[in-house]
Amino acid sequence: MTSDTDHIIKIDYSKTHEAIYLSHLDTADALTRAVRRSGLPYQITQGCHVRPKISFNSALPLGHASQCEIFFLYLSEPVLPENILKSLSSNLPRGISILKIESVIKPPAFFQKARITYRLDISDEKTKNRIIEFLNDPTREIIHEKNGIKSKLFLGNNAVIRKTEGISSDTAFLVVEFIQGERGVPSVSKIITSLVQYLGDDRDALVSIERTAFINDPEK
Amino acid sequence: MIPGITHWDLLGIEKPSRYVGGEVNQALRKPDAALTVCLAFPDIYELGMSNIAIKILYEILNLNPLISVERVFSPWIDFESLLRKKNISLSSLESKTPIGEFDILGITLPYEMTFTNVLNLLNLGKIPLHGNLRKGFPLIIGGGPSASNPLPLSNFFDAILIGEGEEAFPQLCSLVINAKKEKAAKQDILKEIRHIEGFWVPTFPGPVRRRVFKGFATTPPPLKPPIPLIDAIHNRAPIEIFRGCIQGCRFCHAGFFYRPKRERKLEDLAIWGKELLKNTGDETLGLVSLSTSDYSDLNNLIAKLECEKVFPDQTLSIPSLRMNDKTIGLLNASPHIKKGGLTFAPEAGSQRLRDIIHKRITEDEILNVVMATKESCYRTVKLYFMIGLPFENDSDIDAIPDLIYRIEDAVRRNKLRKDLSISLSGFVPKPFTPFQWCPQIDSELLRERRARICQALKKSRAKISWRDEFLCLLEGVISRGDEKVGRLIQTVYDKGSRFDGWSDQFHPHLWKEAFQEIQLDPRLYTRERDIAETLPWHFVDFQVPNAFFEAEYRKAAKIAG
Repeated sequence: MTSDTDHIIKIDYSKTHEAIYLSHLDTADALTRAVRRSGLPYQITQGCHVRPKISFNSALPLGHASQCEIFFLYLSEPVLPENILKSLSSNLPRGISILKIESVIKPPAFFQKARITYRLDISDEKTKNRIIEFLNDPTREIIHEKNGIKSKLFLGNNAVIRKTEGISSDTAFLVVEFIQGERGVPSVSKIITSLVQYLGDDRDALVSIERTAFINDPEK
Repeated sequence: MIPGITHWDLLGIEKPSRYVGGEVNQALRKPDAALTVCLAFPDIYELGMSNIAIKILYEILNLNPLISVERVFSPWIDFESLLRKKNISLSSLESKTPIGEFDILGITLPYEMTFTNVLNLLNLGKIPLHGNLRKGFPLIIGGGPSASNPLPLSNFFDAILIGEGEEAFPQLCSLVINAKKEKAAKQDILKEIRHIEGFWVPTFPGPVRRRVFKGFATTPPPLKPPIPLIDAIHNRAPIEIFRGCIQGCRFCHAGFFYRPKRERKLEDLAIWGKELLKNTGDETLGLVSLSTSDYSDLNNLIAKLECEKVFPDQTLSIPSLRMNDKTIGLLNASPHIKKGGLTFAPEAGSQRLRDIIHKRITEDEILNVVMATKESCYRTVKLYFMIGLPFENDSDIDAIPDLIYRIEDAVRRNKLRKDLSISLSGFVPKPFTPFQWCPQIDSELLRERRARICQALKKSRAKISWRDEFLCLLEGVISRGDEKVGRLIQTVYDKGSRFDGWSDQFHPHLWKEAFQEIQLDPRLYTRERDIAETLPWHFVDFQVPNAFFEAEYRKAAKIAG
């Protein structure tokens, strides 16, 4: 629910370096503290345990970097985006950086289905080829285990390699697009966990997993 | 990030953020510093980041342009295995420098059962455990309440601070800076350190006087501490409102260790509290002390902090409340005090035993405080009791369940919707208390007494928890121990003991094996001491006369008849 007094700010941020080891809840806590420290006129939630009114997007898996995280901050009065940027940026832990700030009328509706793009940096040719082989195999089983219960899904056509590029003779990156949120489709997190298990000792050559785009409404 | 540790290594361990650093307010490495200091806490990140001593020293040292200060915490079992498997030295959070490469490793010693972790820190830093095997830097300096009797640690440390570190530790750092300039030998540095009040140097043993920080009341607390990356045990911005305690409970080591009472001014606390919140973004300001109800102007302090809020969602946390009228006033008056559980420590069930231990509360006060929680949001009332106290008899034991039933009865009659939680712990006689001569009852007897209480409380709805009785015995052995106990600690460490304060990591059989292996009888340390006997820690001038402890002990004995 939004009201006439809401000034909703959409904040795009990146999560890299040490910050990739922060869980979603710890990231939310770090951003909440940053909002408090910033001195911005934030609104608070209703109820017994009041907190700054902030809404976060879906969780980024632990260990994944990202260039496209967002949160929405509710202010009680208008503040210029450059002032928000200035006051928030100096209050963030290493590895979290504000990328863009814009005022929005209301937060966009949340869709289960999303199109997510990742960049995978790979430091040797053999591992690159193994990753391509894995992602290009629609019959690949994605086995997930939680609380001792195993579930099995198939990769299908849900990971599409959009770009393969070499950076130097032995370093390359892949741009991979995943569809998430459809029934029977494994999540990106599960696919990457399976990929890492498949790589075994070669996983050290997969040097970075970075989310580069998150399109919540894949119809667009 | 951490040399030798890959991304996938970190993802294979629990809470990798414990080891990566990069927090807001983290000190920057000073490449041209004359001295490098690593402050160590012998337990996990979440506990260490809640420790006030580390915050205080970190901020004081970081303000000195000549000193580069960093931190290290005990790695959890999984990260330790990784370090050992890869043969990588434990390193600091800030610059990932191996801890063995610092000039000083300062280890906080909050609790006896962290001592195996102290040895583990040294070992993981590839630092020889014994002082006489270490030729140069780092100097291993210890300090904290559990080092007030430094003898069990004497083999492992180069110097141990008895008392408070705000002035003493920077003094030691200045001395080492000068000594480094002059290229002084380690033995010469240690000879000088023993002249700084509060420091005891095991290689040059002699009398030592407990250091008291006289400027406490007028000195700001740490105002810009590093902000934990993950949920710390105490998730709040702590501000010590006073140090010391006026209650004089005869069993309480902290009450004597932090003497005398030094109170910070209300106006200063209001300013510092606001600055601390602004710098940390914590929603909760914790008004910390040994007995917060004893702050002389607590109601006005709370009113002022609530009136001049820094954040609209700000709350106050007021731990360590006493069961008296002042607390009742607080429970009814302060809407923005953090509502979690309320914890009180009646310590004993009978008035007789409360008088013996000088816990100055009556049963009426206990009942009145519990009743006063009626209108508050507090869901749980937790009560701490000790068993095995000096002069305790069966009727004192039975008085605990009797009191619980009377509280439950009053709760029912007054229609309070509160959960009652009871915590039982064995009494541990500590040095530098009036009960330092008292016997510590053995684990078996303690277990019987605990079972007697639990049996009597079978019809109660209160949740009962207790501390392992053998753990209490070990705490007693170490706190009143001597150099031989140091051998015990090393033997049990060699057997694989770590994190002994963690119930899921505590292995009593390793300690029992270690006692046998070095032929040490724990009863040597748990026995009653004669008042005329020279106690092992006699060389420490605690700034509380032994005659006072003796007089207090005799008063307790007189009440007991």
